[in-house]
Amino acid sequence: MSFAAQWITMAKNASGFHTDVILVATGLTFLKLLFSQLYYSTDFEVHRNWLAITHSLPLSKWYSENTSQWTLDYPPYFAYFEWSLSQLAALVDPGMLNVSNLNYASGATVMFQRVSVIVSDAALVAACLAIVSDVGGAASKSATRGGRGGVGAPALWTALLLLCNFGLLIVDHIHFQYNGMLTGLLIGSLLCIRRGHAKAGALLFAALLNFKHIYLYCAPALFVYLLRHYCIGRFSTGHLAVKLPAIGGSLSVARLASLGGIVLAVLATSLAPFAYHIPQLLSRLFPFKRGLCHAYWAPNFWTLYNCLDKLLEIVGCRLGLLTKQPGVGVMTGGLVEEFEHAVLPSIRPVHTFLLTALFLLPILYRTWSPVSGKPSRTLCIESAVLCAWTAYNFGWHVHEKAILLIIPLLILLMFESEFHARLALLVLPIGHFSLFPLLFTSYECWIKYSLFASYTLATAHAVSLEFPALLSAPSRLLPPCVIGLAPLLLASDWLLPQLLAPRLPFLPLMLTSLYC
Amino acid sequence: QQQQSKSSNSLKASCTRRYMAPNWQPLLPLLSALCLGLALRAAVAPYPHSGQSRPPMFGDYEAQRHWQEVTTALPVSEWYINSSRNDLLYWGLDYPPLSAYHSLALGYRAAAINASWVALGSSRGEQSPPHKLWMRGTVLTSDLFIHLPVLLASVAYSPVSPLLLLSAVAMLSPGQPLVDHGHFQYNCISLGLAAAAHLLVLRRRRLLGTCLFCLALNYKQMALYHSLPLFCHLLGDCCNLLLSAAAPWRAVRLLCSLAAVVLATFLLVWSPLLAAAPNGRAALAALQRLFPIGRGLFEDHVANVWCTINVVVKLKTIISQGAAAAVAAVATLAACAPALVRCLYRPGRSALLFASFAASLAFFLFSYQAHEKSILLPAMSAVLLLPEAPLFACSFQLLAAISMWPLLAYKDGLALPTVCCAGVFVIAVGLLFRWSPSIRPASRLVVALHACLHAPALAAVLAGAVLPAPASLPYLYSLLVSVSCCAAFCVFLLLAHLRLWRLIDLA
Repeated sequence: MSFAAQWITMAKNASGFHTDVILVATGLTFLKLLFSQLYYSTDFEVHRNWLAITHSLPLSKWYSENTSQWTLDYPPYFAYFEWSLSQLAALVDPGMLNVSNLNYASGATVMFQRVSVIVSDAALVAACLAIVSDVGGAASKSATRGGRGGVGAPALWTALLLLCNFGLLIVDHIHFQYNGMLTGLLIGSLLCIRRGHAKAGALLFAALLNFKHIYLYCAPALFVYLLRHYCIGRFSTGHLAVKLPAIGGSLSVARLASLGGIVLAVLATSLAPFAYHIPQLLSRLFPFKRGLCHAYWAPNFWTLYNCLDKLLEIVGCRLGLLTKQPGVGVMTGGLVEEFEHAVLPSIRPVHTFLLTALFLLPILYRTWSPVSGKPSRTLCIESAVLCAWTAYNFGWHVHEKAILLIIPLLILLMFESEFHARLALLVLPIGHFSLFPLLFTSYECWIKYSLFASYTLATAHAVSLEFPALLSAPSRLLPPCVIGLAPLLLASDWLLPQLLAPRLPFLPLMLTSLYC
Repeated sequence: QQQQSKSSNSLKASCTRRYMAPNWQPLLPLLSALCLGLALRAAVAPYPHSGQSRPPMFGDYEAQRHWQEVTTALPVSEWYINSSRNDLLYWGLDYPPLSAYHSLALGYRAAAINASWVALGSSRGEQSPPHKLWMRGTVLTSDLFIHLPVLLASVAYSPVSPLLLLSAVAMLSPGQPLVDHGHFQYNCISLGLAAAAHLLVLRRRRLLGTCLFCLALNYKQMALYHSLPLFCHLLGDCCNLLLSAAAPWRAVRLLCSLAAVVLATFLLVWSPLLAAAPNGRAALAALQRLFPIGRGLFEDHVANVWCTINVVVKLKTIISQGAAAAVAAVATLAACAPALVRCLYRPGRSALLFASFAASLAFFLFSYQAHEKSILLPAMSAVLLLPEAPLFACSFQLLAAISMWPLLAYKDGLALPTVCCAGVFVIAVGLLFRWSPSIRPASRLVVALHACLHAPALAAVLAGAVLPAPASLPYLYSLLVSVSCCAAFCVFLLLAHLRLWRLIDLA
């Protein structure tokens, strides 16, 4: 049966939850429309600028245009997406398509951009519909709890928690980005790979990479997984394959070629129009001049490293062992730039690369040969999560928004076992909390606190419904680390600014990154 | 004695029969719904408030700010009296003293942050962003601590599941967030206190309930809409005790203690006014402000019977204001009499709640000088009715929001939040009915009936959005919305009465 027909039949048989997903998506649309008049960040102007660039300029100029400081730094598929949006934008308000109209934000522009994000979330809705169609998942284990067809209630909870995800909601619909659409593509490709439809999965993932190359964080895991568990295996004698006696199977040349062909074809459609501008494009996509950390430090390993460095510097100066060198160790200045560390060795991009590769090795090894010998249902997702997490932890110039790669994948895994549920309950609140500094205006602060509390409590409620044993030990449901977020919030948002202002304006943000 | 214990047991049983003992397990979905309701209200807050950027009179926001100014600057004796320092024509205080004390406390806090916000005379029209943020914050906190927990308590013990959806529907009722956090008012305090009073009286904590209701009444005199059913219910309780023949002195004791509580609460709240000026001048002035006979039968366009009749028969030209007030009083009492009699005759949970709904709706439809925002009082009763008659309650709450459309959309610029809040509410209700087979409406006919009740009003709203009003009738669409909502409200009133007398079943 063809791929599409198989999914449609499955959906029909597992029907029941689709209406719930559509209803919740509609309700969320109203909520997102309510958010449309709130604060938006500079990312709004970024995307308006890209609409203007793709509409007004020829292809050759897209990656060399720099009238505005927000240059195009996403791969070509996203540029094509902006181009198609700009065709509609011309009907709404042509003023936004003028490249020199910097910071143009008429009412029509704001509504158009906001609605475009809401509409693009259709990809996420489609992915959620696919989740509740996925018969034979872990969900069917607990099909007793309100399950319908072959799909149990956990699938519905997964889909709903993804749809309503707090992080996606505030980053996409208030701060302004297009992560919902990309997350939908990622989930779609992982679902396909999980069910064995590797070609469809590879196509979706390759397309995703050409929308936003940050998803390269997950790529090594998927590459290894597909290589080992799709291309290598036991095939019938007529199949063109290379025998690999060491592993006990054979490498299917046909499958490898088909996968490779798909990826190359996608790359070709993406990059071919820019054939003469590839170096310029690459320099835009991979800017290594931006420094180890962003203006607000993503809560990763380098945060700890920087803090240690700062601490040692302060201690050293007090003890007279060091003299304070100007221009060194100024990464708390809130600017995006390269800098040197004061005490510990300075970090260069190649160091981060090596460190990431080092920590990836165990993950990739486990992906190649899983513990039980056969790939479990969740192997590809778990390895994708761990791979992305490692890259987040040790990568160069990681944005805190990159946590939005990890969170949806954890939600996918959440109901597989009690361990996964507890892990998600620990990581999700902290991950969402690390996004708090993105919304700092007053009204948005109220919204973010209450939505965060609502979402975290709803997640805990869902887990307590599926794993009732956890209710008897509340500390497992809401671990102390998560409870500790409350005093941290009080301290960083209220206490410290009152005590320390205007000195050390960066300290609350640093504390947040450190704790997370 | 056996009969007496049987009757008291059956009384107790009828109160607690359908409700489970509390445990902490529902805490997660309840708190989650609470935070969602708070998030919705916080999301409405950035939108314009009533009278924003509209000098010279501005709107309710300026009225509340002005009361903070007046109460902090002037002594108690001058609050309700016209003087050179207190111009009653510019948003004079017309709520009871508890409201004034609340404004006083807020005024002190405002002055501590920025004295120019409440400076006497010079702070008129103050609507700077920090000021708006602070004012919105005060409404949010009073909603969070007084109103929302009471609503949750009303649904927490119901056997309807899933609790997450039921409490979400209670939190997302579209009318109150739009008025309190959009238009800007403090209805949440008096609504929360009144709802708490209902729940406490039903749980046999009559004295505390009565005290809270008196406080609600002393916050906004519109709480009188709910006073008659409560009074009849309590009187009915006393009569039952009297007739139970075992200890008639218990009935007398109850009656006396209730009267004492009411008197004590009122005295406590009004004593500063009574002590302020000789002969109770300040208190009398306050009473005159609270019940303005001079303002006419109705203002603007309300979904009220008098406004609807006025379309055909110009009432304001036919009868004088005094006669109109008398006619309105008689009509109101006639409209809620069956409900009150029922409450008196056999007091019980559904009797009180349905009577409270019917009486407040009757008051809204027939009373003198009803405002369109007073629809929030029957809407609050509808939220309390959520576990008993879900479709009825949700349908009414939606219609209440639609009836305020002329105020919210045309005057306040809150069209987008109204549509969004209503949309979120409808989706939540739909999900609730999908997941609770026990409360799903029995037949398609009932659903069709409710759809027919909403259809004309929705059609008027849509027409107003799409087609411009003809020049000769600029208020055509407001009038159409009001008239169609009034007709639907009359149907709701009838249904409530029928249900009260057990002639139909609404569940």
